[in-house]
Amino acid sequence: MTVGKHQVGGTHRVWAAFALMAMSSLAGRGVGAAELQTQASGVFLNAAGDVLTARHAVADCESLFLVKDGRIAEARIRALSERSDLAVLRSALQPYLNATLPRTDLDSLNGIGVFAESYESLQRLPDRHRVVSNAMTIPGRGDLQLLSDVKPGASGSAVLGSGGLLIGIVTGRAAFGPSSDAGVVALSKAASSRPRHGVTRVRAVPLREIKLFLLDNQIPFQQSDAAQLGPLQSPAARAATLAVGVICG
Amino acid sequence: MPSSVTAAESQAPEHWLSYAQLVSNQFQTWLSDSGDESVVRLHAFMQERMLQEGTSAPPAALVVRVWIASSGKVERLEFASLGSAQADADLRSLLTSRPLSESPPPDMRQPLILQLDLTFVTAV
Repeated sequence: MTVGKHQVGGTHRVWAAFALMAMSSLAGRGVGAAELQTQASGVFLNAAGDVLTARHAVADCESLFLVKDGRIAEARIRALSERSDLAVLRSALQPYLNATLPRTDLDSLNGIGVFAESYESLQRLPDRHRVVSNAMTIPGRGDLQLLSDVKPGASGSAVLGSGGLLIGIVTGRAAFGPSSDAGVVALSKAASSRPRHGVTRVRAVPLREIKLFLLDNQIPFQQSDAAQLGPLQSPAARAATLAVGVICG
Repeated sequence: MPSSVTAAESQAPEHWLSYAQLVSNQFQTWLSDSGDESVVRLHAFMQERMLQEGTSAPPAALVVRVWIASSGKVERLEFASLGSAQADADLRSLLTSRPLSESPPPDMRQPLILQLDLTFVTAV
């Protein structure tokens, strides 16, 4: 199979945080992924390296950095949503691949298997090429809700649906019970004071709000209704490819 | 999707093209790592070759044929010699020494055929 021309070479200017220089991350040589604790997650949106994440994880940060496979780069906020818990960051990091959003609005998302996991957990996930799904959608009140055991640090992580398409962004954990508005706990590490374990109800910004936000802010993104993953490919591995870690300083 | 699309590509499933893009971009990242000795050496060789040829035009695209194991490791790589055993060894090492971030789609036909434009910068 032939793919069109691809250009290689060139430079990537990667900036290391002053506080992290001791870890020898200069010049893009990188550090051990385990050494860098990320507070939240994000997902690459386009070839330019725009990253979609949760607004609450980045809005009040004095400095921001993005981490990917041992490379770290300073980031800036490109857009903040006024309506949803969404933000877009830009850094010098460029993705191997960016997320694809469904072109067609989704009718029903009740009871389907999806995948969502924080950047940090994805780095440690054993045999991730075998993982098919780790969460299930449940009815929500105008938003996307999952039954999931994602832990703090998952704010901003992608919810991948059928065919590896991006259908949501994780933002917080909701209390069970008749009211899904009460008891929402953000899933960034900074905002989560009490770690919870086990499967809980997790909230995510749904597709239509993501698209509105990106279109309003003229952020390029890829759309397709064609599956980006074959039936035997792991969404966990794709999630790891698309994911980026967020450090808030 | 790359701007130049062949008839074969337009018939390939989207998930094959997605994976091919991943491989292409990951190769780009590996070949752009200015901290890697092999990258520096390869870039220097390409620059020297251009000087010897007396041309300012970029080199012709290099076609590589890639076979990828289910582990994501490049298990076989074929390309026309660059004209130097060291340069060939450096390129081969850069593209085969570590696994790709994902396994290939089990149904994808191989080899993957990529065209790599070996442009370079003067200051690496």
